[in-house]
Amino acid sequence: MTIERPTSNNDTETLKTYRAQLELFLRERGWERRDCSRCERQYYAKGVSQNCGDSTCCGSFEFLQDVRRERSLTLPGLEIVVRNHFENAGFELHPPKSILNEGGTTLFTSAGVQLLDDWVLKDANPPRRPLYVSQPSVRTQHLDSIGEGNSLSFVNICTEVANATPETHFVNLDHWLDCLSRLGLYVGDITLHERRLIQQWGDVTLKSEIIAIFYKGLEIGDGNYNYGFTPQASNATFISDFGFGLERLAWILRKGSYFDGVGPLSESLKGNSVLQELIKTLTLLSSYGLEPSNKDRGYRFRLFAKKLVALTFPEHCVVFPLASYYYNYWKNFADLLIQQDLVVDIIQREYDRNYNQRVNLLLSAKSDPNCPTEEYLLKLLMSRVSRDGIAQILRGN
Amino acid sequence: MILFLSGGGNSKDSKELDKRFLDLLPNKKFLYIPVALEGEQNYSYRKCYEWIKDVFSILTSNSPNITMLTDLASANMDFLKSFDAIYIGGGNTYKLIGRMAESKFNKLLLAFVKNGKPVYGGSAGAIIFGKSIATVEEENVNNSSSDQGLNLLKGFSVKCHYRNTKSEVDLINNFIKQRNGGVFALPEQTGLIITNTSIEVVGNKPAYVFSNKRRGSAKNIGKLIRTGSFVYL
Repeated sequence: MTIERPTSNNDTETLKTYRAQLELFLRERGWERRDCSRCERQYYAKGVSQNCGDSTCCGSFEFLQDVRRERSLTLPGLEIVVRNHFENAGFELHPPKSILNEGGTTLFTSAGVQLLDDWVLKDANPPRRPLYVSQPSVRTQHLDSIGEGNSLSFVNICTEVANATPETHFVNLDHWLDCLSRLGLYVGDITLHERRLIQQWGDVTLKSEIIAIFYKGLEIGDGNYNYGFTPQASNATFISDFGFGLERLAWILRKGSYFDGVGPLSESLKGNSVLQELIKTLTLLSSYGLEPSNKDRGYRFRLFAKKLVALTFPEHCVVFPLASYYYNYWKNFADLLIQQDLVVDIIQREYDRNYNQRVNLLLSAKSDPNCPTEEYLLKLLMSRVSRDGIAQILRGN
Repeated sequence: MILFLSGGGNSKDSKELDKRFLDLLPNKKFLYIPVALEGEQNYSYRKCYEWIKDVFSILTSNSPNITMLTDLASANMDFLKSFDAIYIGGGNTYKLIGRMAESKFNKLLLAFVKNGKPVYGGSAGAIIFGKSIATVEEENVNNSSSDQGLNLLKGFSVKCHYRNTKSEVDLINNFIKQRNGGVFALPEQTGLIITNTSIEVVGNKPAYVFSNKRRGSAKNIGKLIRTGSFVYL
């Protein structure tokens, strides 16, 4: 399938066409506009719905009350089903972008649409075919709100179409609704919310007509029709961008905790979601070659390791089991650049450095923290710091 | 809670406050709400967006990531949480509070503030956080019956673009006589950073505090003023 470039480049006309196509799409498929009985906002639904499907109006994540399936797909298994669905629909499978997003507008890749950076921001040609990508993503704004449905790193499953007409965009919405139905999400339980934004993509400003897709209390994804790009130096015109959280879809199907799908169960069942997320994200970053430093990306790496120490202290964490688990986790979605043992080593070294610094602070000691913790503790003992004092710190007294 | 209230001057006037705001944002990503200017002559949302980008792009080498939302009814908490902060621009205060009420965005905003992320209000965007927005009664062109603000300032209301003239002082004193509480009066060249326990004046001029007919001023710019204690002239 190739895409013909739309001929109109006038914002008002684009919006008019978009709205006309949206009304047609919704009407033909039996979607009705309703007012939420709780928040009074407008939304679209097909089935019997009392509210707009937002968790504040549902009161909870309603899907958790549904019957759990006997067999649930793993995350990689789920991704394969989605990927095959779009490949069969004519989408080209595109490898994910590096998480380090060199030359991009954010420190880390945070969404599949950033595949189109070179077209939007530089002078590259747009892709001629519609693309599907399973993009490992990091969203640092969630660092302090890790919880059910909220990850620091996740897999953004996306379709990206450059030069898309509004009609193409709604065909893509149909593809996604079909895919969700195939996975077991009943369309009658889906609600659609509209949103309109002006956003930035680096130095480029764009307008977005957004359809946010909710399933029984959880926002599972959205479809952005992006247009009105200025300045137009890059010739970017229209983009149909759909993105969903793979882990959120898995959660809907598996029930239980969001972090059960992420794994390992030995951690999620104990409620160690923050630990899971920090080590998972550190593993992803170092698998692409990121080393800790005092600025930019490296500084974020350092920050995550410091937070990990704060979470576990005074326990000293050996990261090998979890880092190895997550290395294999990420290997399902991307070709990792650094081998596993080096990745584990980088994370452990930075963790130990931060751990040692914390002990230094508590003891008012000045021992060099840049070594494995065992070696650091030995140096401390050889110095004038009292053994009992060190032991007290490590016992958490 | 952390609120940045600007007296409503131009970008030069608010530069220090803007910088303090931007420095707090870990991802330099905030949501801009321009709806107070909806329908105002010579303003378009596109111009608003260009303006806010210009204001902040000069403060940092890493351009902040600004998203503008005009359809307040379409926001939800998940969406707001993806931002480090919210910036509410100036214009007609009654229009702004009205739009927020009818879209129920005011409830989302209060939850956002409660979660501890910063919110910046410029002029009308600052006034709405007070107890009453009748400090700018002249903006009530549609005869709205309500002048209730979001009341996050322990009974104080806010007056912006304050020039410390006698007529303004008289107006504010009448306001307090009728409504009790107090008023923070902010010249265009100043602003406040307000948390649960403190108020800091930031800018080139003092902020004025009115309470029960007593007038005070924060003489030392940058001095932290504990809520409940004021420096008087």
